[in-house]
Amino acid sequence: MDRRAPEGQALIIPALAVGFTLYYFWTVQELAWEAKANGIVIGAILLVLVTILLARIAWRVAKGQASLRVTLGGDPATDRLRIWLLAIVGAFILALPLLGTTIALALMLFAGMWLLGARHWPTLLGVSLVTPVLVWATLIVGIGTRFPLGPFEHAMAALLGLPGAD
Amino acid sequence: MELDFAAWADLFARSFSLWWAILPGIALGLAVGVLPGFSPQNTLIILLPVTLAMDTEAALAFMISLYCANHLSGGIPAILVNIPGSGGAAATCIDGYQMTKKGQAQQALVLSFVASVAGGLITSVAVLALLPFLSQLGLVLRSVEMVVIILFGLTLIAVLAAKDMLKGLIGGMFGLMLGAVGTDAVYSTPRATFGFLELYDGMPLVPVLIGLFAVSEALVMLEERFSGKPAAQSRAAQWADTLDGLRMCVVHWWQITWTAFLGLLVGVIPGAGAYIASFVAYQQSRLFSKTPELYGTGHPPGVIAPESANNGVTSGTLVPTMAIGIPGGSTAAVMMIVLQYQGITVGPRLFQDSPNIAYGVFVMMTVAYLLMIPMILPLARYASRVVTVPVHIIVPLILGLTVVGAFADREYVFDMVLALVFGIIGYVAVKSGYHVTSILIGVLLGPIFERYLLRALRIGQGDVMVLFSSPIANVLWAMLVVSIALPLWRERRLARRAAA
Amino acid sequence: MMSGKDRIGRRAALGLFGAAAVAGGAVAQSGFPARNFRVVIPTGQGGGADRLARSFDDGWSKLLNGRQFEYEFFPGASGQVGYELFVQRRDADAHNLLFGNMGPEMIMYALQRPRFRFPEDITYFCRIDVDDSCVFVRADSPFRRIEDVVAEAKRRTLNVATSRIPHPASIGILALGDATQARFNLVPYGGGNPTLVAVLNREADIGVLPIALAVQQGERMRTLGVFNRENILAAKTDNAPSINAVFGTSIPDLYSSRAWAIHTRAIDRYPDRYRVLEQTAPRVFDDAAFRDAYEKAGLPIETIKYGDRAACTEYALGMIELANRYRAQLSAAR
Repeated sequence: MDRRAPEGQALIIPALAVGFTLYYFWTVQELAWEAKANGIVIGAILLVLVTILLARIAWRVAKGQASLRVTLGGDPATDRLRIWLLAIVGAFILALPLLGTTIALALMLFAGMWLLGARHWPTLLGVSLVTPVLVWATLIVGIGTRFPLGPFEHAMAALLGLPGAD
Repeated sequence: MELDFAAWADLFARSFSLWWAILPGIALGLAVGVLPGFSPQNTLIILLPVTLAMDTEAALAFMISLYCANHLSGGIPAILVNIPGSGGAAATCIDGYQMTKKGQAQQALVLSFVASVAGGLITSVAVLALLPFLSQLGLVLRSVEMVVIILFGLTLIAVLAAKDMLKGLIGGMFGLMLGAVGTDAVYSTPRATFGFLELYDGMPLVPVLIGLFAVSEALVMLEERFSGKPAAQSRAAQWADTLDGLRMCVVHWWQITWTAFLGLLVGVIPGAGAYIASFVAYQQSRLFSKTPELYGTGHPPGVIAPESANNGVTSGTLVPTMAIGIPGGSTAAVMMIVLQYQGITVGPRLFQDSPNIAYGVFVMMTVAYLLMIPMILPLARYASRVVTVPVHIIVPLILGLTVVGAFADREYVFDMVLALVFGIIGYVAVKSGYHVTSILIGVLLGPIFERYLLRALRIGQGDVMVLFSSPIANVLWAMLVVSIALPLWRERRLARRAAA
Repeated sequence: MMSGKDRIGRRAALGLFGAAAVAGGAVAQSGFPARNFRVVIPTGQGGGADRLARSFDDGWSKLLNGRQFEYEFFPGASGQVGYELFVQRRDADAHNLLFGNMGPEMIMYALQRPRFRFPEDITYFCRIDVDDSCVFVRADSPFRRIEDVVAEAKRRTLNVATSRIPHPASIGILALGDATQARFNLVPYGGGNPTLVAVLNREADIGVLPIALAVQQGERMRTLGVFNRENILAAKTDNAPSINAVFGTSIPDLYSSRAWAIHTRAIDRYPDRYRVLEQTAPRVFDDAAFRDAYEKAGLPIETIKYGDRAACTEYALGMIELANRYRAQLSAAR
């Protein structure tokens, strides 16, 4: 058993930050000073801070207090759930233009609850049907946000004779 | 122009008679404020056909109540599920959610409601008294002063980072870097946009907020599913808790008052927003506290300060609109459209031409806050039950509704994807010891900091000393130095005392 | 990415209003317009374009089956976001329009080289106003005449508040500096309203903006000169002179012009629809309600001046050329 504290995960955010900073520098290299001064000063500070962090971690690793193992502290089963949940949200976004907001949201809620172990049918159906209908009635019909529309929205518009159903 | 007592009484009577416009405004404002992604100005624009058809005073009363209620309810999801309903409520998460974790959700809600209403009431009355003075304030605070005021908010990054300064600063700088995306303020040339048109305006606040707070929090919540322990928070709501919240408010009345005034002052400055006020209020509140170490652990003043300040902003924001005829923000701009459509020209002459409108808006605001009280205290009792919803239901609901909210603000599907990306970044940050609030502060304050700084430097024609060229700014600089040095000095003294 | 088809505008609240108004409709031919118009405004809500469009659309909608105009605001990147979004993501069906400020936005087009082409992708077809660029100061400023400004700017560099650097008014003051060896330092405030504040609070020495905004401020601001051959608002600006006349310079006429625009493809594809728009829009200028609404907003009625597609195109192309001439001062590329 490795008793050294894992520190690898502390490098993920700095890695993203440094990568983004370098990309930023690259995009502004040919601009006037006003357009890049702020970003370059902040970016430079960021690079210095990350260097110090690297030194600190390297020192702790060298002294045998820490390892570069990466962990976010979750157990594997929960982490698998997290990834699935994100995949469901991703699928929801992809399905939006095809199914419309109401149906896609209903499917997403149902799949999400099922994944997390909800098996009580009245709750499952209640939440995954009532919520999207409320969203449809208030946000789409009520205040008219232009969410992607699909079969449900078109059918309801035709059925209820809502204006703008074309 | 001075109004006599009878005129004031008449104004109040008229405002109360508009209850039929104020109550729906409050209800809609509360509902819209809870959902991140729905801003008051977007709601008001969508409702323009309705408000333009109403008579002027009723339309104003409706818009003002919606706007004020919106600022109040942004704190509800911040406290209950660690998801601020708007940027102005982000600072409320820091202590509000900790209170919920300690089982004090209802107290925290009452604190936030009472602080908001009291802050709004105190300042809207204050505006009526101080209008001539306040209308000049927007003209005294210029770019240089704004640079320093925003720096007050940015120092919160360091304050939050107390546990691990290095990581805290890296998070904050990462946020500032992200905030520097988009077109530059001088030449409008896009920077670091990855070619996405959606990023030309800069990193959009709502998807970032939803990602860093809502999506990441939903992922964190999954832990409870297996830990199986019903958190302390799932205790049933009781009226006793409401009373306890009220008691805390009475104890902290002074805190409410001065943070509200701070919000008022920030609100008066054209272009400054609620989030500057709430972050600066939180930072200042911690600074002057006798127990700064309690902030971040569910300390009541940590909820009061940002909430009271962001409602103080509501009173201030209409001052430049009414007094100098130039809207200080987009919500005020929408209200000005309605006034102009009705043939009312805002500006200094408004106070002579139509005092019932010029003073009336602030009276309406006072009345709106008064009418809010009976609506929200029961809300605290029932809203706090949200925390008793089991994880397998609340997590999909949070994800679904907030991702939908990410779309609603700008109507880009891109923003939903962005929320997801920031959700992953936020989760990794939380789990590896970086503070998501630090990142958010950078994204929020970074762009306006850059804008004012460049403006100041251009005014100085390249001379950095322009930043120290105004007496007011120099006083603010001195205060800034004190507010950074004081906590360090105090900590050192405490450490020495502990060692002795 | 969202598809245009799914995002066709249907704002229910507005729709109800539209339906109620159909009764009074005038244009029935070809069933156009079949629904409300969806308008992209590439500047902020509550700004000049917003207010002008709203005072115009009531009269227009009476001539268009009572269909309403629904606005969306994309103020990013000096209008670039609004234009690209309009060209790329709005259906070219004549129900989608853009209402823009041709001057600054064509300068942006020339400098930023965005992902659309003028006039191949977008066509302006109805100019609403000619709003001369002017130099103004606050009422208690030591500068009484434009000559005072230039004299002082020869001694020290003056700070000039402007809405954006790529703007006709900014070009005007730069050209004046070139011609008179005066030194002006442009400070962009990102909009008309903040520019006015900067002049009021003395952060900037002088301001340059379209004249309507300066006149709207009444006695608090004084207009010192206009970048056009004559000042149509002489009566409201204490006879502020033409700057060229004062200094014998030959700065081109500089003004902002707000105009309705449509996808060029929509004109080709639906010529009958375009004809309805093109024929009804000029008639709004005779509508007393439009002029009333404009004056109620405190704006000077003299700036209202209809221009057709040819006038708009000529002006827009002229702006592009001008922007290219001043590219070095206006652009961040080094």
